[in-house]
Amino acid sequence: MPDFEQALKARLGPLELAPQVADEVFAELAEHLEDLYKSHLAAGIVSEEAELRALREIPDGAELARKIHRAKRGEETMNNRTKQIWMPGLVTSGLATCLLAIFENLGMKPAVLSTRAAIPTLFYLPWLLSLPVFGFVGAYWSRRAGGGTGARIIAGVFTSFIYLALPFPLWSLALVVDPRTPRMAVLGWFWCLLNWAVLPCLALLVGALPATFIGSERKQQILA
Amino acid sequence: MIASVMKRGSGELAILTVLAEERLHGYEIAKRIEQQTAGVLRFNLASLYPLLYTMEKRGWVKGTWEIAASGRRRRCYRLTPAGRKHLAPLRQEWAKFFRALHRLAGVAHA
Repeated sequence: MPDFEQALKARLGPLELAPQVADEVFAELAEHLEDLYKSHLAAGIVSEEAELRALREIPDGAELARKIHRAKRGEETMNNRTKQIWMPGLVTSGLATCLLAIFENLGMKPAVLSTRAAIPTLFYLPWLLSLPVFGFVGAYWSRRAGGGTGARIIAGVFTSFIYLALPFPLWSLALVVDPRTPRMAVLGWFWCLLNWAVLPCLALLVGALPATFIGSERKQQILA
Repeated sequence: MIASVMKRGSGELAILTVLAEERLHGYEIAKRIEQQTAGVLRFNLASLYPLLYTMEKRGWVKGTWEIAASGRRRRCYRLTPAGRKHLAPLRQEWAKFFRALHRLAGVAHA
């Protein structure tokens, strides 16, 4: 009996799946080729020709490997990214922004840092102090959805990405087109980056890090 | 010769239909479909298994390793309740499709 499993591994290459899953795929496909080979022998075809006809079932090994990889992993990867990063990130960002709006409506005034910049820098201290909670929730949600360390941290600090992505392109564009005070606008731009991206990111990280690591240590202690 | 796009769309229907009758491994699935369609629908290894794995991922079929009477290890597939639920409307859609073709071009399914 020809070694169809070796022939498959040579044609498809490594499947980029977990080793056990890849082994099972090769074993299953090899069984199929063996059945085909035996049916050709039963029809009176000689062994070498029967083997060649069986192997013709795989006209393009690389393409088949890609299709199998996509079928086994493709959808799962997309769903995992949504569950582990986008969902926790967007929900906690929405809640953090709602809380900021609530503080505004309640009349809480931001601390104004007086600078020479054209854009006054506003520090919403109560809001900044509440961000660790959102960072913790985002990271913990990602962890419960099976997210790894990277996914947990990204989900935890996602809110700062939103503030970085939304206003800064507009402010950058205004910096370019505003002819009035370019030097002071640049300084204001950096203060805004600090206020709306860097400080929130650090505050979120304060909450995200415990949710990312503390439980993992406990699990390692139990296993040891 | 049936266009490849039609074959692709009918692949799900064909596999789910044969598995609705009994549990089969991959080679048996391909053979059963070829026999029951008189060779019109033919799955080779490269077209069958990516589709089977996709349907397994969606929860429509479930594959388990079993030891056959010959002592060989085979992966047999069965239709899941979710697959059975997916099959019924799929059959209706295809029936509607062929009725529409029949009205248009006098084409009838077997």
